[in-house]
Amino acid sequence: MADVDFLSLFQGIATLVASPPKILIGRICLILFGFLLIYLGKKGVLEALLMIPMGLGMAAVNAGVLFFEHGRMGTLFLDPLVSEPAAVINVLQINWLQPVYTLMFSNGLIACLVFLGIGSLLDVGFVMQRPFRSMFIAICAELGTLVALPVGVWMGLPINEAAATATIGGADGPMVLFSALILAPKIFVPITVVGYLYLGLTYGGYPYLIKALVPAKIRGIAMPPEKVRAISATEKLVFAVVACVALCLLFPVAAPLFLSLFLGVIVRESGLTYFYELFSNQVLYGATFFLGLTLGVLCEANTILHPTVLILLVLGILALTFSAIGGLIGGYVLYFISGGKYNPVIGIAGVSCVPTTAKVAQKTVSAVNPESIILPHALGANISGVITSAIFAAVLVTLVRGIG
Amino acid sequence: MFRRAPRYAFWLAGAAIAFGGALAARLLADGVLAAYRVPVWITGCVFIFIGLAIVSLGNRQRREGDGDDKDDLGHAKTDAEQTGRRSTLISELRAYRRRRSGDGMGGTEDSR
Repeated sequence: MADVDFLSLFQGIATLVASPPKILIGRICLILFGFLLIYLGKKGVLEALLMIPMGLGMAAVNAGVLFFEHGRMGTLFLDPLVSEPAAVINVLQINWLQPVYTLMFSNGLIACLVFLGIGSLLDVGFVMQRPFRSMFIAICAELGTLVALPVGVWMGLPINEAAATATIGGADGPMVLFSALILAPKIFVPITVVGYLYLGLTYGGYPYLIKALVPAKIRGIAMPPEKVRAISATEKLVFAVVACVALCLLFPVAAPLFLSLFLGVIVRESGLTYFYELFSNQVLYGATFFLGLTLGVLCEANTILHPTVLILLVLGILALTFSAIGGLIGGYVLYFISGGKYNPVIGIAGVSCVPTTAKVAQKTVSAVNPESIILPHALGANISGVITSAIFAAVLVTLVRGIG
Repeated sequence: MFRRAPRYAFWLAGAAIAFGGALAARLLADGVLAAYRVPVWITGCVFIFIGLAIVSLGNRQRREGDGDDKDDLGHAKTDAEQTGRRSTLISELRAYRRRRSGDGMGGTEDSR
């Protein structure tokens, strides 16, 4: 017994001791941060579906570091830095999450699967009933993306990394992942993690922003009753087909995202019940689970502790705040054009992520005036926001790749 | 004349504008310097949005149009409704269903 080397037996602790101080502190902090994410997910502050697998993955990967040959440290989860074909084949047989990462994550498939599921939940009828107002607000709510790009370059980021980070302003997790994978593959992990964390946090902060920028008297405006009619499934299908093909034609670089989103819409409107059930349940939740888990596992101290993370933290919050302000400005413009009949709080719903911001808008308005129903308008802006943020991401990817 | 156009005309016109705008922007963007591509893309997007809005307008004109021969639920109007003669039980029922479908809440027909 006296010969047993306990540090060799408990290699998680041994690697912790053997790590440089920066990595040691980083690993401990990330383990604690993983616990915090699980706690906040359980409490409902952050999105539990994503944060609980992410938090546990983050804690486990930073605890489960072991020694390999020649004293090299690593994990049995996955290795994002391997790119050589022979090495990839090798790690695919060793690391248990490597197949998910290599075959679903690094090529953007998982983002497309999430989009497929989201598309199957979208009712484009809300956009079709009020297309101009919805799209106007959605375009205004991209202000954060436009502001974050030059600020990122000014803060010293290369334009590709600044553009990838600016997509956080679109407030669409899969879009951030897709853009970051193409534009900034070296730091896509911190960008995506920052994006997802902020998406959870800022929705908690948006009600305060609304209260700060919209006086209670205006917040409580009741929208006049609209004479809208039910839109048939055929009409929604025509809309989705035209939008999908036209956008793919203009931005082939984001065609996988457009196809996934509108395929979900078309499956829903075609009455393909079995596909609809598959996409809106198993595909969406399965992809979300593996997205959260893989993102968590990618947050190993060596990968996440990148010098640009602080800049990403600042840029992310800046992008989301300006997007919300832009949406509210759009709401104010419609408020003045309509002679005070349009509730400007609807503008916040232009920041996509269906249907969270639409719910935030309705809740904030209901707190002042329970009689005011703005949800149909907010959902129109919300769904337009998804389409618009995909367009903005596509413009950035095409432009920056063209420059590169 | 515009208000009487069938919805297929709106769909075709909207699709033509959206596809035409996208195709033209795509072709033009390849031929200009990188710095000028963004305005070209934005113009293409504007055409796509206008096209989609025209596709959507096909519904609105049917709702607001007074010359359409179908009601909101796709049922043809009776002769009595079209000529403004005394209403019948069937026309009353259809008018009631139309009122129900346009209740001002912005609800959309679920395909499920």
